[in-house]
Amino acid sequence: MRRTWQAAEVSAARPETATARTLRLRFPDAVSGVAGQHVDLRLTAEDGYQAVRSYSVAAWVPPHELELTVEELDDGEVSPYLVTELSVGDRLEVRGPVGGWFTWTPDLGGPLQLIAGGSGIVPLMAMLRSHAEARSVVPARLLYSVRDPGSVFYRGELTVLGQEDTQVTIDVAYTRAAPDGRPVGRLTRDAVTAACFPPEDHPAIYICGSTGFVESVASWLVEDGHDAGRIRTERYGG
Amino acid sequence: MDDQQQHSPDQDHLDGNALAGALEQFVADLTSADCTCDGCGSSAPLATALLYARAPGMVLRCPTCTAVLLCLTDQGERQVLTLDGVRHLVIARR
Amino acid sequence: MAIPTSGFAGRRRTRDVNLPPGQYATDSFPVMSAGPTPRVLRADWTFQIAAGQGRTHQWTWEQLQALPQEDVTTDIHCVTHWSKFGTAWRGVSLDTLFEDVESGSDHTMVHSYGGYTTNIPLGDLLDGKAWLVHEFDGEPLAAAHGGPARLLVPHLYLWKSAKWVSGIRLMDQDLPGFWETNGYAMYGDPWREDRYW
Repeated sequence: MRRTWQAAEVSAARPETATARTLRLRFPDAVSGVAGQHVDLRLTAEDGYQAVRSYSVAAWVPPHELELTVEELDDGEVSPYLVTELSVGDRLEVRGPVGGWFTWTPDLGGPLQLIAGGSGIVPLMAMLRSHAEARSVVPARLLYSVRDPGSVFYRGELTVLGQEDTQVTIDVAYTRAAPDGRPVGRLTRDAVTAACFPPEDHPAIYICGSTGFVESVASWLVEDGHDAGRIRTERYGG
Repeated sequence: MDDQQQHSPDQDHLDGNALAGALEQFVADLTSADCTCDGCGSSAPLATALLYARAPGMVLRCPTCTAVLLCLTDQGERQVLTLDGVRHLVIARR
Repeated sequence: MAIPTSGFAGRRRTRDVNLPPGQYATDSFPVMSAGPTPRVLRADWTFQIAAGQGRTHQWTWEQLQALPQEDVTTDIHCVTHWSKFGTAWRGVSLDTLFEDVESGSDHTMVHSYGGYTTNIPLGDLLDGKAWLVHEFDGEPLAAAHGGPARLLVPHLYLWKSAKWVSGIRLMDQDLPGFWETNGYAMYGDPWREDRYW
């Protein structure tokens, strides 16, 4: 773990949706971590003004790189810059990876239940990628709540994972607009119950999304009989 | 002189330097540490506590009773950490 | 040393004679909060001044509304570096509330619903320098900004202008409140950039 700020260079950038972008950062030294961790980014303006924000790591690209996915917030100070202005070759200061609670490694077993609201998918995608890389035989399910089909991050990769990895099941729930034939509406307790491993399977549950999303889903799962000690949550600001 | 004697140290102790190794583990991820709230006595990992960050400092509150556990204030050149609401932290050995 | 981030400007920062050192001007009104927002009904609301030795003065919401009201337009300065010019408030001068309060104490602790505290010298609350406000921009003060009523002490950093204020206790000595215990200055004058211990 890096405890000081170090400069990383943007080595690649690709749009994820109309309002989100994945940035690949290259470090001078090898960088490694586990799925679910995040890094702090520090941006410094010409006059010395600084802003620090945390972003979850979406992918580890050994030995020198990692990827973040950043969603542009309407009144954001940093995210619009990261999504629309930052260019390949620019440098950012990075601290981390940090965080040891909201993490999953294949040796922790499962079944693995992931529940994402919006850009809360990012650390959970890192877990699915870690699961795939390790060729883990742990059964894994992802419930991914999005506004509409255009807001799905990692769409191609998730489709392939859901089709080709027999251990992985992916459910997408649409709250505002859905592809033809799919239901639309606020995520309900029944939908969550239906998309999750039952309590008797004792899944390790990871929930990431806005504070309201996380609180609702976590309380439903506890009411369903899941062990609160098996539920780990991460709330992001927004 | 009485006052001097009351505070005069015995020969049974070392000094804080010798704690450096034992405290070194605290630079590991602290958010996984189990924190007991001094107000209500409940315990939970720091990662599950309620963080109020849109404030002059970072205020972490007990997830059970919302009492302030700790506060971290950035003064630029230095940081101030107060732990008034923490009864104890239990840190798993790495 | 920090390296500059190519093309990053952050929030627009202006130089202006009305800006204390280290501040930038903003048109928005950021919501700062160190804890859950208390929801206090006006019917349950009271405001107390405790002058010591059991001498307590208390007002209900109706009693507060019956006092002379003042309109105040002022700049405000938050210790997190933003300032907002020309904010418009309505409320009761602390001079009015302290009119019948007798005390030899020079210091005060301001208390809020939800447990927040901040210390202010009594002299900084009097002589037209502080108000108990319940309207912002002509509207009832929103809970996020401290409603039903907050303190307004615009010549000090905004953490002194306690939201959800419930009372003021007079003290013989200056003791620290919440932020003053956690790294921030006892007095908090923005023009002297008196931010930290």
